[in-house]
Amino acid sequence: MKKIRKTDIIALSPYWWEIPASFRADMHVPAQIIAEESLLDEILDDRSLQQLVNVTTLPGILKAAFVMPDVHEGYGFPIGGVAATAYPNGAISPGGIGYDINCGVRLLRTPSPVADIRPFVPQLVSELNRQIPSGMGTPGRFTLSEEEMDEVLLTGAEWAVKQGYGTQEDLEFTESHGRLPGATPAKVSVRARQRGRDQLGTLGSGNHFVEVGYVEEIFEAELAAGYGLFEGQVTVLIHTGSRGLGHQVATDAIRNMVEAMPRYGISLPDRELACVPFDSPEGQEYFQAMCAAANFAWCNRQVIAWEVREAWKAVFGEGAALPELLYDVAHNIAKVETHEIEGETRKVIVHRKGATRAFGPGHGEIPEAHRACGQAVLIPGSMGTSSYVLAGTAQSSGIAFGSCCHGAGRRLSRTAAKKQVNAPVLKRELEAAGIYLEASYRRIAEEAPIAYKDVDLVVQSVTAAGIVKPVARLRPLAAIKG
Amino acid sequence: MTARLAHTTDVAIWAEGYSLQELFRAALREMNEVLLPGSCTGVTHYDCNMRIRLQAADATALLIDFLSEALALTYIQKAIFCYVYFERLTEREVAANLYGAWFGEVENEIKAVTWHEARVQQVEGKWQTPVLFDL
Repeated sequence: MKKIRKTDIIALSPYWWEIPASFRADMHVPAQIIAEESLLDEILDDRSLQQLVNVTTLPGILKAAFVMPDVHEGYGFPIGGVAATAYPNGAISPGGIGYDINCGVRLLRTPSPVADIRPFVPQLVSELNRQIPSGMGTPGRFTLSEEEMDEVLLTGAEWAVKQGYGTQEDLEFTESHGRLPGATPAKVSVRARQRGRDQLGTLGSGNHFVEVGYVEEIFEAELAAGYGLFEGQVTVLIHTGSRGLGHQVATDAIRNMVEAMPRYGISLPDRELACVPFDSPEGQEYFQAMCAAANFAWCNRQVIAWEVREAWKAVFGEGAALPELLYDVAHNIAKVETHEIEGETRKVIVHRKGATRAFGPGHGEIPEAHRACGQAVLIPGSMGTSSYVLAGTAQSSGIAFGSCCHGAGRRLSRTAAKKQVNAPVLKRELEAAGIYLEASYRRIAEEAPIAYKDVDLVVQSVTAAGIVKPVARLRPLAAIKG
Repeated sequence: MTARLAHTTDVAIWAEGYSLQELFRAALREMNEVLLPGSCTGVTHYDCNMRIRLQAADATALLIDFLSEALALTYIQKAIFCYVYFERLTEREVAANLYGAWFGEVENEIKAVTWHEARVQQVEGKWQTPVLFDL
């Protein structure tokens, strides 16, 4: 694979870079990078940009393939990638969504100031840990029957609300109301159902977490007020996805598409990019299963939000004011959206793999209460560092199909992090700084701040590029890791 | 034989063997080592037995399918499949019995076995390929 050097890249602005379509003969469109220059230099260290160039070869890709400043090397697509293909016959690629379909972030805000909560943090962490099953092998509170599974796959977070695990207001503040209409439960395989049957309301492992934090700084008072945020306010971030069910849906689809590609005359530089036309039987089969898996993920985060509220009641009493949902947003998903491309309004299939939707003010898909602000964009930092609430801008659609980064972005492998980090020391240092962790030493080392990029620089990049406006910075108080 | 390869986010392995059976066993063994290190050391009693029968277009597809199926069964049966008996294994077909020992909790969740850069080929008498696991 042709190595990409900085001299192959053109600066479009201090935060926007391009590898021209002439770089490699099989590129259909340019590859573009949103990043501040020092981050670009880091990005050049791994194979993210070679993977991005491969993405530009997808059939029907439009305008450019993009990566955000938190990009890192993945498999097939880089993590932090965005690509849009022509509707209805452009490619759909499960590798452009990832195995953890609708992995995403949910932010709850409480009415409580940090001073009221801080003395109870150790108790709260212990209760959250008791309420929310995490790790691999710990089942959730449900074992779904076939009929219940069909309902979850069809109706997503609505199922949880109907069962009493949330409110109508929760649905209002969830992307797509926690339910994609294109879902067909029958397209989800027996294996996928078996893997997900007892996983609803579970966190999983890896980089998934629940974090209690507080609003450390407000950047735009009007936007913060629009989202119901105030300085010192306690918040809860939830990061997880569709668990084994989604992983199996993607596995099944990639296998099918690898077999089907020759029938459509598609040949790609990496089989992990396997794709078929969106409107083909295989494309529709995957899209309908992906929508069902996305619904499972929204239901999962909804049940976890209920578990957080149960922990709150256990610590602060039945009458305590409970955390309310600010917003829930996916960062591994494909959606049919409308964007303007070269002056023409077009329907496109947007793939976001480790990228967050960031629609601007007035967009019909933003909850009415937030519509004037723009969509809330939630960016978790690494363990022990800040997270951010941002707001999508009017110009975001014209930059990278209304997409933004999804986190800090990994820079060290887990193995390298374990070699460099003394987990007991780090845990003590974080506790001294007022951050409590409920996680194994191994997980603490793997997820240490040193393993991630500087989230402040990442956020500065997307802000300066004009995709989002900064609203608030959140500082962690405690985290439970999967 | 197996080895770990460098990768920023996930775990990549190198697997090789003098026969397809050796290659498939080596890749399965290393996948188990990622899931729960040491889980098959000293195992003499198996708690469950699952049958796999798969067909694929080539040896690479067959290996990825085989590992994906073993991974799905690991999570569903909550068992690490330490031993595999191949009834039939060609470049395009596998029929095998997997023997597993139950576990409490795996240490690393492998979301999936990816196709990224996997390419089973025979070099100087050895079957070999890298395999990337999505963590």
